[in-house]
Amino acid sequence: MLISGSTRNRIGKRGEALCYTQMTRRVEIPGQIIPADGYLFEAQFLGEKWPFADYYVELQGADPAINPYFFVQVKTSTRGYTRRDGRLKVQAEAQKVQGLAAYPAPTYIVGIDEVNEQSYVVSANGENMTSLSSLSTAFPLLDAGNRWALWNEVLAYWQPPAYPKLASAFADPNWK
Amino acid sequence: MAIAQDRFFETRATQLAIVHLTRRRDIQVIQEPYMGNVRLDLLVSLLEDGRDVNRLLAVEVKAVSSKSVLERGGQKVRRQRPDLASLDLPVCLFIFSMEDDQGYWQWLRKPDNDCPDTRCLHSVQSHALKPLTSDAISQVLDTVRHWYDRQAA
Repeated sequence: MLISGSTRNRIGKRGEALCYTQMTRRVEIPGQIIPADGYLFEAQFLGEKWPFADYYVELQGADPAINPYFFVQVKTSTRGYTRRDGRLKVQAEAQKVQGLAAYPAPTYIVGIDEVNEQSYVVSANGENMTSLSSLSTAFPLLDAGNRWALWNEVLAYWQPPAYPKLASAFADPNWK
Repeated sequence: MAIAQDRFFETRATQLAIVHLTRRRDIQVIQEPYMGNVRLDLLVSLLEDGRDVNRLLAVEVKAVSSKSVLERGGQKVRRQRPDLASLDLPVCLFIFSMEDDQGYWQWLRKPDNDCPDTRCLHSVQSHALKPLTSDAISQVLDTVRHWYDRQAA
């Protein structure tokens, strides 16, 4: 598989690699017992032909009888942040947001700042069904606490009585 | 369980290598190519004015669980991949520690730009690993570019 060719292809592939490496990075939190030796997520790239999700992600170290999972759509940006409130400038069409939220599983958008190699996760579980022009930077993926919270949120979703409703901690209150 | 973790670590290491390499806009990166019968992890094509001119560097990628076993990772590659010594192009090894995602590198097939034979490559036996930084990658690419320039002259 060629990475590069057009700039758009290079940036897209780079964003996918940044998302994968930052999401699957080992979690170590003093005072916390973290399962799976800290490697909480295993992610599989779904390929360009999948319309709404880029990654299928399984929780590691959870009850294998449940096998919890979630979907991620990656949005890579080279345009930096909004001046007023430091949101990452990304583009997501309403159709893609709605398509992602329609999966019967937790779904998230990961925004990638390609220049500074930072990633941010927001919930796409139906809290907002409109298009997106910027994304909250409140939940950086490189923060081990966020990865740990994400793991626990997805695990809780798949356990009764939460399933099938999800009230995500990663909601973007200023989605626009 | 051990096999699944090995595969997971190798995937992570390859993606980390892609992150490092794609910081540069003067190369193309190809995943899992073949050179003849030899399967490679990554093949880097050095571009000239944005064009692919067949100037290639092979990158073998390895993961280790922690920095304490870095050298062992390098030794394992040499043992398991003797076919890399048969390649007629430069080969580098990138090793990543899964503990903290830090990368290290060394030559496996190093261009000898002082050799009268312009296609001279040495298989490197030293186990010394150096930190994988943007400057290190620049130096590697400069060495490879010089090797190809000598052949074109």
